[in-house]
Amino acid sequence: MTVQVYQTRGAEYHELWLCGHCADAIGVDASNAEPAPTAGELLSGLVHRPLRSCPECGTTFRQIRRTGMVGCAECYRAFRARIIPLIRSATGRVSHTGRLPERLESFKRIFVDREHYRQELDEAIETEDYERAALLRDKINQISGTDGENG
Amino acid sequence: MKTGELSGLASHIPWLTTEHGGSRIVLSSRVRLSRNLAGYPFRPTPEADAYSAALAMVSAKVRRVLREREITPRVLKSGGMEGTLRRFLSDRGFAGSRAPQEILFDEQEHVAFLIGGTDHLRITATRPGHLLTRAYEDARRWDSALEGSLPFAVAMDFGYLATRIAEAGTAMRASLLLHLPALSEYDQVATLSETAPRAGVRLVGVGNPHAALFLVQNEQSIGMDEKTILSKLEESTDSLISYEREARADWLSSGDQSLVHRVEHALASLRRTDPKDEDEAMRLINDVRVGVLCGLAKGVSLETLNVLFFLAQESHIYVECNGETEGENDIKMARGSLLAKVLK
Repeated sequence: MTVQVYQTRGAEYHELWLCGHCADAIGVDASNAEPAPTAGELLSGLVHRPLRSCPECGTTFRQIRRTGMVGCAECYRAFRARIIPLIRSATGRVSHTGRLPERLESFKRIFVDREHYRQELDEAIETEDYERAALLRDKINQISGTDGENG
Repeated sequence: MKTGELSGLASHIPWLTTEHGGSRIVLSSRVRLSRNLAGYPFRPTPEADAYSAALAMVSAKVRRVLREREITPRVLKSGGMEGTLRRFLSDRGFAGSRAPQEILFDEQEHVAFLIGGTDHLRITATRPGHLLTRAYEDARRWDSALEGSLPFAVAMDFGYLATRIAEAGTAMRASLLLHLPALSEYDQVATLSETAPRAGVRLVGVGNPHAALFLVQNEQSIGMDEKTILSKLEESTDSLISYEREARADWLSSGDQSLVHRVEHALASLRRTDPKDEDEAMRLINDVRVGVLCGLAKGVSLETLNVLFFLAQESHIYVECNGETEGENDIKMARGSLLAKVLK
């Protein structure tokens, strides 16, 4: 028996293939794994399977891994979970923090950055780091204020 | 593309002038931004229509923004380009592993638009000397001018979607061209190249190894914003400049008379018209440049020597002769004559 283990934490993604013996050894209970799909489910397309090729351009993940190149923008979405470890192995980081086209900058500031700061604020309050919490609250208010001015 | 289309290009390299920030160690600064269009294949497909449509759209929009700024671009089409011409464009920094189908650039070669190479569009801004921030500002200005009319492929987490996944994020490659003759003389470059990645940069040799020219460039394009990438690169460049200066000071203070002889011999050899192969020419130009920097050679400008590093390459000689060279000996003879003429 082979057990496939996925672990996702934030932007991090890990994938492990273990034999039954090793899975037992590290405490992975294979009996809790999703049951194998039935033939009917497979035929009806109800079960999510990793994509073999990009639905847009047909590039396979194997080609991407071999060449380091995608075939189109959709490849990044279709193989996201498997591309992240490749980018990390090449660059050590995976989350974009640079500039974006103007049309997306305000969207990012309001919907992504504000949410990110809110999560950090919760963490800061939980760890009783009130100085940091105050700074984060100011940042959130600043974004909300800008949002209001724009809105 | 025919050799004649490159006429005039081979004889001068505007971004290697020593005016406006030209330096004794940093020859030029360059920033390249890679962009692709959403909804189109990034590479040629068996049904080439969509890919061609993407390139046609990019070409039309680039021409329009140039026209709006009253810039008449020089246009090179690389279709059917032979090996030496491809190398010419590569030596000039206009092409990577996959030659672009079309290149548009301004008179001063401060900006070049490479269409249809590895990515749909690569905007390359170059400045002479140590002007990396200026080069970035140039590239960014053109990028901003185009983003309103071209649907660049972007994702919140991956940033700009480059064809090479290792280049996603800022999709920016910033680099400085350095002349490091003293570090090369003391065999220090290999060690520095090994340690450079720890600082998030890469140090690689460029062109003929006898020229002692190196590119220091960013290793990462994701996880750091553009300013941080540029600042790390500047920091590493400052360190390299200081190592090179120390090595030069050591070299000079050693009282080694062979350096004086080397410089005198190199200048005399370059002024003779006898045939020279590329290795020999690069070694001699390198020695004379060291001589000028150390005050051992007079009457030759750094700018001339900077340009000769490029003009003495086989690809440039071939273009300069309009492709009318028959074999290696012709190239060697043409190189010998060119060097003697320039340094007379």
